[in-house]
Amino acid sequence: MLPHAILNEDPYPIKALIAFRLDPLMSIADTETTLKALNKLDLIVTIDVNHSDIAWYSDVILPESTYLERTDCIQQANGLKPQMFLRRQAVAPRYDTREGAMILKAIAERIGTGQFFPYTSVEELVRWQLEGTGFTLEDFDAKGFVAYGKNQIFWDRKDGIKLKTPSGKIEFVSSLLEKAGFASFPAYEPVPAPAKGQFRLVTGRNALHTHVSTQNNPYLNEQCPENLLWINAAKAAELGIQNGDWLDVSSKCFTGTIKAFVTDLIHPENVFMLHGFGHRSQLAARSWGRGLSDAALQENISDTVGGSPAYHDTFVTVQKASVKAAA
Amino acid sequence: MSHYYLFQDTRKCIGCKSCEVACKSNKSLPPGPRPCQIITVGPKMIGGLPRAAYTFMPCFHCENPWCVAACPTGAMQQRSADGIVFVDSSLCVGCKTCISACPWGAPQWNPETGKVVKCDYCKDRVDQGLKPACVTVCTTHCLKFGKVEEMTQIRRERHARSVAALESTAF
Repeated sequence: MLPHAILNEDPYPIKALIAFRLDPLMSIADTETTLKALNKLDLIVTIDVNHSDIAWYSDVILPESTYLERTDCIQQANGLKPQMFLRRQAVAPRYDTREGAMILKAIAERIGTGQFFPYTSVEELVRWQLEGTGFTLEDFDAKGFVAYGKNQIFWDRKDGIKLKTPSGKIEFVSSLLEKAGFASFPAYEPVPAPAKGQFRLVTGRNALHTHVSTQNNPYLNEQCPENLLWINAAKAAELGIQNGDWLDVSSKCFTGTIKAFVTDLIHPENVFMLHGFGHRSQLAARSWGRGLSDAALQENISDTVGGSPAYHDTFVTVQKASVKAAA
Repeated sequence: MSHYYLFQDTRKCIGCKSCEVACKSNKSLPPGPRPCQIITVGPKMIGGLPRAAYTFMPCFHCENPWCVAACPTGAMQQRSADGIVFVDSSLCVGCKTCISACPWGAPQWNPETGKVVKCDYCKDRVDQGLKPACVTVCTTHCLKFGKVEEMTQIRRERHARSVAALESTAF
């Protein structure tokens, strides 16, 4: 939605972007379109702890303190035993960095909206957050978290449980969906299959990296420095592809190179790659240009009912790379 | 053999490598040396399903360590108090004889210092009553550190539970 809103000035013209712990270049499908949108802006500011791709493309970087150097706002952990937890500063910042909330306040004061940020420290902001909860900042001293109650909360439907639906009951036929013009029980429609010579691009995560932010970390980069394109062994044989070969992968949006991982353990119609690689930030020297970005290949398709991005609806072609990429 | 044993419950390990990263971070090591390492075997098709195994390889702290006998400078040592095998880096000249001698590949090369680094069960932490760095971060709690006698008990009790016939008197 962000590139669409900027490019089409829908619902209004956007002149500046402040990216706060978000990397639109790695986490929004169709990076080339995102770049076009960013190029239309007058100002891009990034608040981050990493040399992320959006930081590289920014006019201004406002470095945030790392998690051990800052106090964050109170966070809520929902569940059967709801809790609040607090991440507190453990060491003083090593460099000239600040907490995100203090950066936002300082920006607000400079543009004349400081009255909406009526705190002088994050601790004061946390105390305000806790007002009316029955807890104080000191209650977090012992464990860093507090629970609202001693026991797990189980609701019994016989006790007149109130659900957050218009009827207050479990709705098999959803009035919300029906009123919006969507069937509660839509007939099954087969998903499009890849055409001959194409593969469905499937992406995912592993246990070693967190989203798009850790690929440049020295220790995690050593463990997993690049992503590979998993391709079914029979299909690879048809295309003359061997394990470790450089491949050109093309979608409607982008063509990039990546190494092959030939395996029997993937469906012949699919190819797979890890999310979060193919960084463009040259200051993140370890991750720059390593692997291929799934976001660059993906088309920007959304679920028409819920609006969630459809990450597995892009089809790609795969062939041995015409020019051997640098190792 | 050191008094200690580092037990890996292979049924629980998911190969996340948190142990390797915590170990390297604790010893401030550059890319390259891994005093402990998870070796992945597989995936292999077993009964129609893909299976992978993750084997944790620290130093085994042998009773008669090949590395200590081979070291010409006395850098590689065994603590008399508890049998932990460690390298005194101020005495290490980087000759790599211990690397040749160890049958398990435990001594690692540190290209930054030109010396050997190895698993010492984080003896500085152990001396403070703490656990080795790798154990403290294990995601699935599959690594356990303690006296050898306590560690063997884990497998015995688990085996006993798996074969126990509480409801059948036939056994």
